[in-house]
Amino acid sequence: MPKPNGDRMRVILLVLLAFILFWTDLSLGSADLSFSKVLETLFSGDQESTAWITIHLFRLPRALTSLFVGIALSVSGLQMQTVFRNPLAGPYVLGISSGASLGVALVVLGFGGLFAGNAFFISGSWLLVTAAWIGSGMVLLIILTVSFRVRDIMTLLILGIMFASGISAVISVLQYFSGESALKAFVIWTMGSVSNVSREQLPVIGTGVFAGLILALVVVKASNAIQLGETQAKTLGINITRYRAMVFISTSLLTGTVTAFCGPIGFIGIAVPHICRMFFQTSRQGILLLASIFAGASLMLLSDIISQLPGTESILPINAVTSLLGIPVVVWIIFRKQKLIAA
Amino acid sequence: MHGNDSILKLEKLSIGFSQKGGNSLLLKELALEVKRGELVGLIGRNGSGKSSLLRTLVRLQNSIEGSVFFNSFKIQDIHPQKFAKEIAFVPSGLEYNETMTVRELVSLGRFPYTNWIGNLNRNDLRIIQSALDKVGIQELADRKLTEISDGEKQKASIARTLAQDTPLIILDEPTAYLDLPAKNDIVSLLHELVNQGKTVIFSTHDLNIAIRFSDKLWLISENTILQGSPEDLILNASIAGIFESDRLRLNPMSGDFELRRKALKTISLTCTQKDVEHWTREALKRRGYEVVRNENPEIKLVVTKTEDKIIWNIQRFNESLPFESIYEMLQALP
Repeated sequence: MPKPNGDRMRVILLVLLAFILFWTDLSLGSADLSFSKVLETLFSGDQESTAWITIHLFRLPRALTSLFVGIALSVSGLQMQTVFRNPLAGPYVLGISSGASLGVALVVLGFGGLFAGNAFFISGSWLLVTAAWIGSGMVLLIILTVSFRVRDIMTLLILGIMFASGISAVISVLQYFSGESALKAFVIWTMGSVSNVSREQLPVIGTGVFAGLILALVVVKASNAIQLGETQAKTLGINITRYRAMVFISTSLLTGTVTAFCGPIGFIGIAVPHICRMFFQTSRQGILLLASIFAGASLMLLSDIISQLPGTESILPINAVTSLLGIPVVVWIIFRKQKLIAA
Repeated sequence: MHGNDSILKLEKLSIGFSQKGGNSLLLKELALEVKRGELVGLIGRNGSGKSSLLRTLVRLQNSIEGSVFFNSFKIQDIHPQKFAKEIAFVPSGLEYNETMTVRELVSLGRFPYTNWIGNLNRNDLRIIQSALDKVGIQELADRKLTEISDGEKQKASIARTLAQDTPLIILDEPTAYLDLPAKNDIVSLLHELVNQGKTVIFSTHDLNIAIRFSDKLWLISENTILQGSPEDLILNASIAGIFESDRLRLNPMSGDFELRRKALKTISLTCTQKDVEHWTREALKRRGYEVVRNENPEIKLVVTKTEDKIIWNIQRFNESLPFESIYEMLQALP
């Protein structure tokens, strides 16, 4: 293959970037901890110190969650863009986030009284995570059932979008009839957050993301061929139905898990695969998968760092930051493409 | 080079669309055969079922009745992965990702042979390179598909089928959207592949090119397919029967189509140079003149050649009008 060394250098660069951003994310915060202090605390056993509590109970879960979210959404986005052969597809085109939102809306808005008063702490609770998971799982089941019957991938894409819009409408109705505090709690959930995942929940989110990644790796070979269109892929020996099912399950595991814990987080999933394609100038899915993992982690960690507004006490909603970072990328890509066509 | 055993056999194959309340058949009870090392050109008018037939041969579409045998195995009984090593298919219109390079496309031909993650070993890389070389697109290997011409894309697709290393290659309209030189280039490339031992089936609108290069034509005619060498089909008027119309007729000597004209007037032509005579004659035909040999034509045309010029003299009513080009001469003809 051409320029394999160039590809290797780029991957190493992305790994380094992700590592530096991870470390920066750990080091930043209201409590001023030096580089050596963070390093020392990370591996020390003194569980009584404030530094240990800050790092192990707050910053590490938060940084790891950002890492997982970045990886999950970027890999899902890459898979969706490949399977639908549409550059604007993202992790949420199947309606997974809508399903999760419906689950959460039913709990928060339907039984809103339960959460009145502690609106800011809802996004980490197991009840909500379970509700979101069930919501996105139901969507997956419906999508899979439909995908076995509908041959045309475009029809499937349109059905996914219609389905998501339908669920949003149901959520609107729930919102309309719910009380003020429940409504606020729900709205805050939809803004996304990486800071409410507890240490105990990390292994769960990690397992979900890991399982999704394994499946994504298994379909890499088929994803390469699917870029030539499904007709051509079939004549190369691919079972399209099985391929689609595996991609949908992988995406649901990845996106469903992180959305359940952190709420819907926009634009990372659409922007990162494009950044990787531009950076690597290849269509090889193996390389793009690897790149998306580290570029996704980096961009999400960067978003988390920005959202903490270093030097201040306040925190921005993570969804606003990812959008503000992601939108220019998408716009830039569109303009670049325009130029290519004009040239 | 041309063996005699058959590689593909169609038995009572009917294709079309299943609908509620009966099937609508495009082609009925086909009994056809492809021999190893043949270049088969599939010809038919738009909507006659060319694509449907080819898609049926590569199992993208089910037949309504009958079966297709590859090396005497029913194609439905061959495992998909094995099938991909036996028959390569190029659909009309290539789909690709905008960052895909020619080499990446050709590499996908190795798909049926690589391991679970699609890793290319040394042997795969060698085969990919030789596929690029054979088709003559080595220097385009690292260009993006978005940056090359339609003809070059078609060649890249053909290189992909070579990397797939199948004895049989089937192409749907490989010459569509190409200009004439590119069309000839592609079909002569297919011809070359056949000489190197491949068997190729391709569909086309372009009768002329199919006649020139194919070992065998499959000619779609009213729900069935006539099979034979192009020459046989011209001589028994099969081709003429399908393609001739009120305005077009097949020239049985060249295999070209020409406008049917009623010759209104007669003219005699005297010319010593063969090529000049040929093109002058064509021009006169287009103007509606029949070139005759008799002694008393309405008009005589005498072509003379001086050192650097050709002069066309129209002789009529005992006067002679000289012209320096066919164009001017035609304008002056009554």
